[in-house]
Amino acid sequence: MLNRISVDGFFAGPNGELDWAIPDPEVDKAAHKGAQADTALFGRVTYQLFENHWPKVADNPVASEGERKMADELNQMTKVVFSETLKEVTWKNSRLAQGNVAEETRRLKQDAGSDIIMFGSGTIVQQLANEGLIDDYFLIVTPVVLGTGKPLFKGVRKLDLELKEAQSFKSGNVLLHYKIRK
Amino acid sequence: MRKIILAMQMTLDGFSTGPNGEMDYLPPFNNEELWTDLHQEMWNQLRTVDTFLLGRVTYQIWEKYWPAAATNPASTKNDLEFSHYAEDTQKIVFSSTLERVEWKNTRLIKENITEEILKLKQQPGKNMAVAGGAGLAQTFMKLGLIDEYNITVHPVVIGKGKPLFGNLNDKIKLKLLETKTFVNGAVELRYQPEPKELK
Repeated sequence: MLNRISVDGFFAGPNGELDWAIPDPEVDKAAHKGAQADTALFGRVTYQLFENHWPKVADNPVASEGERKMADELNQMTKVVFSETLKEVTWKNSRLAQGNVAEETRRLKQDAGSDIIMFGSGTIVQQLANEGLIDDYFLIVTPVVLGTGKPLFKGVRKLDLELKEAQSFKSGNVLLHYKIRK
Repeated sequence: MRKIILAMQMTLDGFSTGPNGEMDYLPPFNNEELWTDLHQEMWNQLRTVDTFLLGRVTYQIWEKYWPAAATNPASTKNDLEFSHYAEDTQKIVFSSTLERVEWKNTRLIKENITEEILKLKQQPGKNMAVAGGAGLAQTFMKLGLIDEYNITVHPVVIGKGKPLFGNLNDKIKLKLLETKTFVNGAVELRYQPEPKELK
């Protein structure tokens, strides 16, 4: 999974605010390099945020090259959206998955293909982390203490991780890459 | 002017200790290999510090543990060194409930924290380190008294415990000064707060 996180461990403000993130093409590039995937998992909220933003970026002449590249990749990826309430997903190459998140994820992991990436968080992260189904954590530590917000690891019981890399950037962002200890 | 440094350990999910003050998320104490560089960094930092700022609970733990460690034949080398250091170093305990403090080189401040701290900062001397606990750290953060954050993040999620940062009303924007990694996978993040924007 790949996520921005405040120093005090929040992935979003209390009302889902993401405006505290420090945009940084360098850290995004580095994170991306480590987290190559052809399939993306989403919960509903993050899916809707992404679907609202990314599909049109690919065709937007004003968007930066980096952004358009990311948009292309996201468009191409197989996107699996876990939601009990969404009736349909309209973004190209997406499908809805209902039922057991862990089971479905295990099935996906067994399929041939490259890795699976998870953006966003919420209950999907907790469920998968607790089952040991998340292999790599890419965390972009933003140089801010939010004071309150949605904890990335809420509901996650215990994880023993191995630090693979820590990289700092001019922006003040720090990219931490951990693998779970099996 | 002297700086107030918050120098504390944290889990990846933001806890300073487990729910009952446990610090067992740290590497096992008898595993020297995992502690050598962490200890080295600690001593490097202590060179710039001449005062510990402690909350009541941490003070009581230290007062019980460190003087005894000085005479305990089972103490590790690092523990022996630190017990002498702790004894000889000025300690200031912040507590509205403690009546007095009895450990050598220790002073009690019961109220007017900001005033007392500002007075101390004006005096000549090295930096002062908030060494624990999270409660005192949060008090200092809310009063805007921290000049440098030195957080060592350990590669573990523990699920529940005492959050280092707690609930703050305002964001604290930070400037990254330095990062360091350690053999056990811990990452030290050093920040200074950005000056508050004028409202």
